[in-house]
Amino acid sequence: MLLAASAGEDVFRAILQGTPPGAVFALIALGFVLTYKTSGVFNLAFGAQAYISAAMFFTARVEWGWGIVPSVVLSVFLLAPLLGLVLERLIFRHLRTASAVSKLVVTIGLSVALPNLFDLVVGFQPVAGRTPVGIVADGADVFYDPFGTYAFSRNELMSIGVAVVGMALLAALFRFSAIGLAMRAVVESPRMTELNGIRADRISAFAWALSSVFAGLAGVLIAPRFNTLVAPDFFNLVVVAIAAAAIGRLVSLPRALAGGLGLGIFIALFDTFLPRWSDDLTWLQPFQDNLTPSMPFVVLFGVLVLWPSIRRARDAGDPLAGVDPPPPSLVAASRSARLTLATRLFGVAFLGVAGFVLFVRGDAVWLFLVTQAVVLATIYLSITVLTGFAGQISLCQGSFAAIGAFTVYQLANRYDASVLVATLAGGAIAAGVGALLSLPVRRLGGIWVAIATLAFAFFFDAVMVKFSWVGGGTLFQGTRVPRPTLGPWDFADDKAFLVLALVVFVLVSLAVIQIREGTIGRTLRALRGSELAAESIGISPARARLAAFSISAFIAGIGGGMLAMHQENVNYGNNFAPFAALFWLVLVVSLGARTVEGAAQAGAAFSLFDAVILRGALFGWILRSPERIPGIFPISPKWRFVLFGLSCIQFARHPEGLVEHGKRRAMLRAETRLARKRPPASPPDPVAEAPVRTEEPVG
Amino acid sequence: MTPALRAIDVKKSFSGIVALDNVTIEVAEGERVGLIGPNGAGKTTFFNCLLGVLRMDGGKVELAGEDVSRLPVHRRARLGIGRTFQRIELFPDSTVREHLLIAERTRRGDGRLWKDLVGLGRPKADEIARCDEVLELLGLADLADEPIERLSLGKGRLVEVGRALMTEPKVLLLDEPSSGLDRAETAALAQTLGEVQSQQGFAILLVEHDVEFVSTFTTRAYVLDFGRLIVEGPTREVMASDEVRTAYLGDLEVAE
Amino acid sequence: MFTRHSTAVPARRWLALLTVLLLVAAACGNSGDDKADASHDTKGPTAEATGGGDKDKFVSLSGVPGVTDKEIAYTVIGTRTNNPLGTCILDCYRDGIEAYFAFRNSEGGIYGRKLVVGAELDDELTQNQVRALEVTAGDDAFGVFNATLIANGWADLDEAGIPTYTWGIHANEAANRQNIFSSLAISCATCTGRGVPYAAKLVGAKKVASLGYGVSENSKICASTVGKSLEMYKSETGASAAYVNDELDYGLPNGIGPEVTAMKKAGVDFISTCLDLNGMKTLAQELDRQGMQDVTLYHPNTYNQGFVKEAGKIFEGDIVSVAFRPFEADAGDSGLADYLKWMKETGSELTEHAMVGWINAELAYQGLLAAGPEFDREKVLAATNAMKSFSAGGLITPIDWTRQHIPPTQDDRSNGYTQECVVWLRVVNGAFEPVAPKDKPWLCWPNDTLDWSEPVPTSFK
Repeated sequence: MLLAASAGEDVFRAILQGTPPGAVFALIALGFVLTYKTSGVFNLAFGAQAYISAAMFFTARVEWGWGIVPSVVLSVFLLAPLLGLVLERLIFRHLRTASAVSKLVVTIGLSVALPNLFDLVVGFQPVAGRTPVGIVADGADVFYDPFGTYAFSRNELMSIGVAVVGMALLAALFRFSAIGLAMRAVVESPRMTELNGIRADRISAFAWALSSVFAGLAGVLIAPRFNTLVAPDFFNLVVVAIAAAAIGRLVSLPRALAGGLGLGIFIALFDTFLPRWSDDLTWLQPFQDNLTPSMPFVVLFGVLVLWPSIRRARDAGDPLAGVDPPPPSLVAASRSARLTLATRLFGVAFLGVAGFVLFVRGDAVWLFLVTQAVVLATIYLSITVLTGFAGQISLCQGSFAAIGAFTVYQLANRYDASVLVATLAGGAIAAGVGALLSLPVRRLGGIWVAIATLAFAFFFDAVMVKFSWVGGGTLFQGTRVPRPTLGPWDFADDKAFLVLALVVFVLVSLAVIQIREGTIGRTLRALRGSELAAESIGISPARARLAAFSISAFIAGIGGGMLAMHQENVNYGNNFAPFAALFWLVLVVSLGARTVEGAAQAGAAFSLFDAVILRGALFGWILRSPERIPGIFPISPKWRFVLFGLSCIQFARHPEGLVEHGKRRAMLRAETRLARKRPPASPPDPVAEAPVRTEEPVG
Repeated sequence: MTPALRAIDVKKSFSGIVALDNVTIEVAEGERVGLIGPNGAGKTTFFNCLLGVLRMDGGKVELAGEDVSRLPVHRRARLGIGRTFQRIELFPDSTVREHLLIAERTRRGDGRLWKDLVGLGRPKADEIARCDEVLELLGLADLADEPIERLSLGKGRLVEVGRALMTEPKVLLLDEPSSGLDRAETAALAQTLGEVQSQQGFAILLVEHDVEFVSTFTTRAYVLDFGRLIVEGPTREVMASDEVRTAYLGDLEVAE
Repeated sequence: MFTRHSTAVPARRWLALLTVLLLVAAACGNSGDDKADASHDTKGPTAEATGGGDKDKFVSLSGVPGVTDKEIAYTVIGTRTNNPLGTCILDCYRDGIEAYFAFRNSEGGIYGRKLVVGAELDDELTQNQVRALEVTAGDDAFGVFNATLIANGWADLDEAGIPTYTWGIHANEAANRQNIFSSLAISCATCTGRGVPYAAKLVGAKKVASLGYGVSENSKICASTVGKSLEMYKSETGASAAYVNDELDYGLPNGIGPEVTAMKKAGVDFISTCLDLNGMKTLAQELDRQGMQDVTLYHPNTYNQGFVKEAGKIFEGDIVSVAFRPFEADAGDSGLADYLKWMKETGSELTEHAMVGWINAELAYQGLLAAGPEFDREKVLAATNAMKSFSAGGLITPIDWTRQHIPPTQDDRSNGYTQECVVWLRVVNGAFEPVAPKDKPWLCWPNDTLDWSEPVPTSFK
């Protein structure tokens, strides 16, 4: 009896405990659903927006010593809506008809670029010992205990209060104001409002400003829960919000609200009871140890694969989207043979000279960086297969690569296996995991695959890596990995290893090209073009995606193993953490996800951009002396994130990537020049009376 | 003789609203059957139930006597249901021939990863020959290497037909093939379709708005209104029936 | 009507594949398999120091990296950009090194040369290996000072034979590497100690909790090892482990409410932690909320005067552990006086990381001194590895570099410190006060036995 009473009290306490964070989750989920429904943007950059407001508030309040009210006004009511308006006006307004997936990619780019841009512009950096403050004085130190079981801090009460007021205002806005009514119409039926001539632009702009305020509020309110203000924490927050919003299928504001609150409480209940059960039930122990920190991701993953409404919500993907702008065919396929030969020769010559210089004159650093570029390019080919061919956005390529790396480490360490064989095994295991992962997500539409893989990446990061048979290094050795030998060759030498890396890259590239031209590649292309039509000729989307996921994971696993060998250590946190892998996708997508060249250039960009451009080596070469590198170098490495993050924006217009886009334009120019010298060939027969428009079916 | 396609007592409702109420139809081998009805009559819903895009609440779909009610879209396609789309669904980034090639490869079902890797995944001579045969049949031979983006809507629809034909369907479901086409184009399409059908002998179920198209093209027709079959019989008789007039007149008033 | 080809791949093909794989496996091996660690054992600790009195003797040297007739240059690698902890690492660390160099240069430098920081490299959190390679590739640095959050470049520095002086947080990367010299000798994370049990005894605690982040192996092991230690000595101290949690989420983004509730239920009156200082603040605030203000906290990473002062009363009475002679102790005849003087002279703030830099720089200098005027990297390494008792002038527990590159184990402490020592401060009115006498700030236990005893206040020279 006593036990029951105390359990009841624990439940009550957990509910109280979970309410303040739940209120903030609800705020974010609301804002998230708002932009999603009014502009069809699945805004992963929402966390970045929250971060900017939180960091701005912290800077104004703590660094500049402003009062609370002006700091809040600046960060939440000026900066946040301004940011929302700028994003809408400069980017998303022009992407109205883009596909849901390309908009998602744009927001991924923004979530990488925005926090770094803010840090650079404002000069913000976290300082240890200066923890974020709330928006009430003594927020963390004064407590109120209304029920005698749980003492709320002032900050927490404030969170609840602001959340309640915010929601009340939103409800009032929707009910009484003209723009609110129009917005509600858009939220409920976007296509109808389009037809009824409601000014979608104005509504969308307003919704962006409003949702950005919600992001800002949530950021400022949640900040005191964090020890330091760093962007990845806020990115995680948006994952939580997506979980909350997903419960309401992303369409219902009240359900998003309930989802947010529920999630906060669920996490608190879980934290309270699971440790207790696992005291009695020892088999629960490893789960308790590892699951608690990753609850939000587990919930999200569970919601995605188990919640029936989501699984059926395939078509509810994007209310406003048309379809992908038909990606133009690859340049190489359509340009003249002479030009192809010329560019190939130039490419080979350039690489040959660069390679020769590197081998003869290159020092350890350049050798390291170039090898790293080659190995990363191998990993990036996995993105080429999955995103470029299959049109699927996966945010867990880092986890696949990590599986390869850990396999190499474990097999070499425990069984003294050859690392080359272990790399193949790592690829195979990654492929297996990829196949397994593709099963629950096979029925989900584009953005949901992205979100499910994101959840998996975080789950892998928080849970799997902790298991000693996965990521557990030995004491005083860590996860050291030896270099391979093959017959007479010993790849301990860095130059030899570079050759090995190149061989692997070339082999994988050839395989990828063969796959692109073969049955699998063409099946995936059909599926990407139109899932309905592909199914109608007997293509099984589930099987094709399973193939794409396993091949991609295999390549990533191989690359991960190579990376571990190169660095002679797995270095999980450095190489494969979810946020790092997010940047991979941004790079590959912005440079070209559909070609081997794109992957190679993304590898080079990741590895060499910093050294060549930002640290001024290129200037040094041009000026023929490292001493004369201008004083502005080295440029902050954060610019790398800003540049590539922002260049992701053009994905919506040029899904083929910068490389391919540049090539096409150069080709057009070259062909016109060539054509001028010769008598013009007869123009192609005008077969087109009216161009075909591919559109998604309604209903 | 087992009919090519038979649907028995198909039921479907959306959140309580009945969209299909015990619809039963039958398409014999090599037969051309029309399915007409005003907007919102449930044609598309029924179509999707036949294809497996939507799950039925009750009833049965049989293909050449085999119950396919529980099979997903692609399995039904492999068993012999081909289709075209009302809003055209082609694969961007592909030529006309490539559309047919991938359908052919899928039908053969012999794509393997290792074959791709050693270069055996590229189109084979006999596959190309078979595609070109069908393209010839449809009068698309000249356009075989055109990228799909440069085709007119009418030609695009023919490509859809060709793609469906590569799967060697027992029955071809045509979803409003005349939509977006002008009178002349529709006539041309009807003519080509007719020729190919009489040559290859598959059955056709035509869902169509264009009454004239249906009257000239089909021999038998069903009329659907508010989710129920109201008339069936030889097309000419059906067209003349009072029920069709009422249903269509009512519809016309709303639509125009 | 249509045919479906058989899906079965002939078994023969699989067999062939398997055979190929086996053949490859036979040809493959791992580099270094047959070398069996030979690389590290060649340099015995026998090389005798040759230096001595001729500190100012100039010998022109050529071919020694980073050494000119005027200067001996070192490269400093540290983390500045992207530091998620927000701690001042690179800049503070460099402050300490430069203060030390200023001190020695004011005496005329060494061998007629000045000690200088030649290059400063920010490893941007993830670029440690590249930065290390920049040093090995160039020839403008004699040695390296390295304080980075990730230390994946240390192996390259070690293998290149570069004298590398580092902070003491990366036991894995420093272990068994003869050319890596940390400010703390490699500790054995799984070895029990008498420190925390004694701290519990000191404040009269009965039920002790031990907390650590699950994110790093080190902090995980730290928390469970403390648990083991408490159990080992509970009959002597009267304090037992009542709650151990080594799986906290890094940064405590979900707060620490349920954990504190559980500790409250367990009647905990003392909490030993392996958390960073921000985490300590979160913990202390939660304790406050749940009415557990009186619980004493044991901090491993909170030696930051400004932070503790600003935090107000929440840390009052807590015990803070430090790794060196604290600024609050008497300088006596130790190097602390020089440190304080030269930090002031160079206008730098007194910080933990500056102290680490100073200690590292002192070892670099002592190594040069012991190597003699015709020094090179190898001689300095050999001479340093011959030092049997390096205490940086009484700033740290003495390290025997002839054996302390190799980590000790629970049962075999022969590679460990001769004594197990702690330096503790208590927070009194927002300021630090040494627990031990000010002239003997260390509390030490003999390390030849693991038996319980009362610690002896000690000072080193």
